[in-house]
Amino acid sequence: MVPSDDSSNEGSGQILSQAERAAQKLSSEETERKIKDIVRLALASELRKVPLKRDEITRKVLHEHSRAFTVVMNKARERLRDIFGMDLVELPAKEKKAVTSSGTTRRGGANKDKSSSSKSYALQNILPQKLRDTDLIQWDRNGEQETMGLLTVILSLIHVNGRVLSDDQLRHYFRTLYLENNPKFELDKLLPNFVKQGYLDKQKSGFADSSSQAPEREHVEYRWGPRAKIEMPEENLCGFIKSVYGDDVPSDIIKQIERASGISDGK
Amino acid sequence: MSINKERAPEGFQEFVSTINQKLNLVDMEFRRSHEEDDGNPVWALVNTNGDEIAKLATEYSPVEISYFKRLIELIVTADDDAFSASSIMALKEASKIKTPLTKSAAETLLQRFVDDKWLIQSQNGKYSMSQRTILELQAYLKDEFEDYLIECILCYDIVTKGQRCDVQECKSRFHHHCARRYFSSQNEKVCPACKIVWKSSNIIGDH
Repeated sequence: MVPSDDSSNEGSGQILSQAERAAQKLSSEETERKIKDIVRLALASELRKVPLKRDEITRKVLHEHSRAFTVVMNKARERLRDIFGMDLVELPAKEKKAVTSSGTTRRGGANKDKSSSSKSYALQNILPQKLRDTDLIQWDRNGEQETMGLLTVILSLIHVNGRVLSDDQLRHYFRTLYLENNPKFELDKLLPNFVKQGYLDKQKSGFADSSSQAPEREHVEYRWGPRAKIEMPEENLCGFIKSVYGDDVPSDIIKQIERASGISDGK
Repeated sequence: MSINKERAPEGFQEFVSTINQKLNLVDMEFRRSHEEDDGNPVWALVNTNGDEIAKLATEYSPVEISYFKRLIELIVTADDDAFSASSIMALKEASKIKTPLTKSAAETLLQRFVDDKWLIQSQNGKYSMSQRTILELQAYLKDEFEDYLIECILCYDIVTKGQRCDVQECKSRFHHHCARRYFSSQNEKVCPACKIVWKSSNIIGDH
């Protein structure tokens, strides 16, 4: 369940020993204090849903000991897992537009490409499912539940549309679902917020639609943002889509979702 | 978080101290108090370190926080131990801060403070501090308003809703529920410090 410590990106022996040497310059009190500060910084960033950048950790916590990053960071992750059941993981780097031309390789693309790491981190809940499904916790803080419900719907729509959805398509779905002009959801505020928080990735598409009757309008596409990828395991999303069907759920729903998302191509 | 149990279950104290041993490593604490009006136990996860990092841990903007601080000052320093501020006073304060807020912005923000349970708005529209504020901002409150915030002589928590001794110089304060508990075991109803007859009509808080 708990990822091992050697899962860090900098696996090469030379870099690690350099980090270890840098860490040795810190007294145990200093190390303890830096671990604590990273943990507190991670919690503060999570509250505001902003990614924690490596640069910020260096500036606010490590200062001249920036080379000890790997060692101190791993200890901070250990503490977060121990106290809060949270891991501090690096957000996936943004997908490059070039990769998206072929639906089948899109998924592996971001993972294989280790050189383009995001150097941004966010907390990931690693509690076992049975500890999360508890009615002890009231999630309905300030309508957060509705907002996250809307987000899950949007993520599902993107997923089953080959993992990318144009702004026009998204608006079309909103109309169909009576979400447009719905007093409960201020879409024009919520969407930019999802982008800001890293749940959605919004990009202008490579080719402008010159034939469009509204020539000034940009062609915008939505994909899963880095935070969505670490917070929403695929099986949870499939579970959500299944639950929408209720009793009428098709027996091959998982296969259908996979096909629609472009993983299997149905072959 | 409120736990509506008269008595904590067996081993609860030990459970809490185990949790706190871990939380203390990152300058946090799971702390207990009581709702001032009914005495029900409440718990909060509080930050015990006012460092620069803690200042980042908020969803409010700096302007919103400066308005909140002014409101707290208004509430804590209110005349006659009222520990509350009328909505007119609260809105007026919004125009006095460095970056003044419009009336409607201030109204929205006040509602947000209430929704987020930092402030309580009573039936008559007055704002007072919630137990969340008293618990989570305890260190700040004690630093800033040492002379205004006096502790209950029974439970040692700050009293902003309760009763006080008739003698002006006497520092005896009780929460209402603490007074009931204390005097139920006493033969005569006198101040524990100066022994003057205790009148339960000297009210602290919104009255």
